[in-house]
Amino acid sequence: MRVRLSAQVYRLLAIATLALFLGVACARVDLVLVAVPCLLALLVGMAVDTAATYAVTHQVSQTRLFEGDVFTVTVTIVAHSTIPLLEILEPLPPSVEVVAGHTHAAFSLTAGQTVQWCYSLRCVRRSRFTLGHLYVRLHGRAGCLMRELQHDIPQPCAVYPRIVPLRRAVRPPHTQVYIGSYVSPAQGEGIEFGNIRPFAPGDQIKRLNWRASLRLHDLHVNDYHQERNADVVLMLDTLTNVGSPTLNTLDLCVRVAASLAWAYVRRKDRVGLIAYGGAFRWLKPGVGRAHFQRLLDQLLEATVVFSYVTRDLALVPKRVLPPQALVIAISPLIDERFLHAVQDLRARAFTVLLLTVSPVEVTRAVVQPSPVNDLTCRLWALEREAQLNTLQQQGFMVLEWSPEMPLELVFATLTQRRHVRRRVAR
Amino acid sequence: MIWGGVLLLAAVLIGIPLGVVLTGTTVALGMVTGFLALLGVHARSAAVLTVAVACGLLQELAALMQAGQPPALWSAVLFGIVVYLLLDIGAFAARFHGVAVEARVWRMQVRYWGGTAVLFGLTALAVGLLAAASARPFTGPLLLHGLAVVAAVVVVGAAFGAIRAWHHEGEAW
Repeated sequence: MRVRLSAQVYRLLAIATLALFLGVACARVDLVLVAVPCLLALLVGMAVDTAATYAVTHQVSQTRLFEGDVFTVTVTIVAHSTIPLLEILEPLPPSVEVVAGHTHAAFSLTAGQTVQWCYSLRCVRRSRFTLGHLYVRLHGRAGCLMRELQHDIPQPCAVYPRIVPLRRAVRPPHTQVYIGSYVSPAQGEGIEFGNIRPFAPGDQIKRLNWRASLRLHDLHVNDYHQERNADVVLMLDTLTNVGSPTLNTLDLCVRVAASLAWAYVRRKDRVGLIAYGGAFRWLKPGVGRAHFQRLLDQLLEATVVFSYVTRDLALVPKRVLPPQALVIAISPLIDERFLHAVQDLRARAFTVLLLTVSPVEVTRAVVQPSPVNDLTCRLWALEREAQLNTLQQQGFMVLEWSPEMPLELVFATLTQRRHVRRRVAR
Repeated sequence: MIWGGVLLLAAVLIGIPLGVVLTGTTVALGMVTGFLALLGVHARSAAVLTVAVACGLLQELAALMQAGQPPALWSAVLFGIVVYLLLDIGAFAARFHGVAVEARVWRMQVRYWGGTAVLFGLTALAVGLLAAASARPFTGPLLLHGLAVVAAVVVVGAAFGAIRAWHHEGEAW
């Protein structure tokens, strides 16, 4: 506890001294009397201010949240002695904003009284932060002495990127060996009808196709297509970031990656992640909700680490980039190094889908609207269009997404393209 | 709301010297005091309000010097209470500006300011009476003067004791 005099003491002292000085100097007792209440206030304030005792608890309604979620913080103060004036403040991280209530409040408590102080916060952007650092000031009734305390009741919170449910996503071209949701060309156990063939020893009786057997005068059985999963690797560009803290290309890319990860994990696919940037990070493909949580944790940490060094994808272990995996590269396509890495992957016979987040709209939202800025953004948009056309001519599947467009719409347009259908088909 | 009270007190602070004597100097100093008070309220600054109070003191001194009247006890006590309240309420308002202050805090502060204003006023009055009694030429019996001094000391002590008692009985506020 730190005890200190408030500024009010110095103000009262200054005015009382001035009044006394003027009164004595000019021989006016009136001004001497003017100083009396100020001096008495000082005397009383210093004499009667006593330390107060209390207990404080801090609770958060949720500690794992997504962007846009609202949660409630409840601070409970129990006074063990009378507290004339208690001022309490909880500083907030920049990634949350107050929706209801205040984070700075003042209370007056009697001995044994309990006060619950609640306020609601909205998560603005992905981040990790710790709540529960409370600053408390105990003021005496006269406001001359202040006792300052700090309470640390750490409540670590994680705000994960917002997930947009995707009903359709790009179907991987190759299936793997584990059970999944895709109908595989290989025949075996499944529910999708595949073929009729003559009965062979070992075939199950329930697979007999009686109608075909009677017509062909020989036993025939149905074959089914296997249902298998696929490998999907999300490659996130963490080389550059454009925009403001609240709206930037990296956050948009991370949101897209999280939505795609959820869409594929729900289909029992193995999903991996490569954060390609100054700091090279990866997560090998896996299935299930626990793995999705690991993916979210990795995406939460995604940040731009500036570096001149161009990382080689050969550094990535083979188990992180399994053969025949669908690689979805998510990037604003600002740094050429990412494009080279994607071309490298394509050269290694990976199926690469390039999903680019437009940085033009993000930049337009940040810069001051002016004819010059408008013209620059339009020129930039034209340059990007030309760049994407070139990439499409090189054989890349390219999708462009801007923040105001629903993400699902981007994938809906893909299914309408014939050449893409041909590549994605089994 | 509270800033309205601060402005009202500033108006009283300016009005008391103008009530003593209305001259160009007091009016000019009153305008400066008013401007500083408005600036303090606008800037939510207790420091600027303190400067306004200091200017008000100069205005009061100018009024007293120009009027040349004998000391007015009640006027001086009222002026002192206004100065104290203006400083205290201004500091409270500036400190808790933008803070969610519970209604109970407001009630208690208003009672505190009311109570201390009365007590400090009575104490200042007693001190004034004591000063007046001491300043008189020694003509009456010694016992009367002694009683006056004892009464003043008792009043000051009683005021101080009452404040302490109030403080310890926090629930009674």
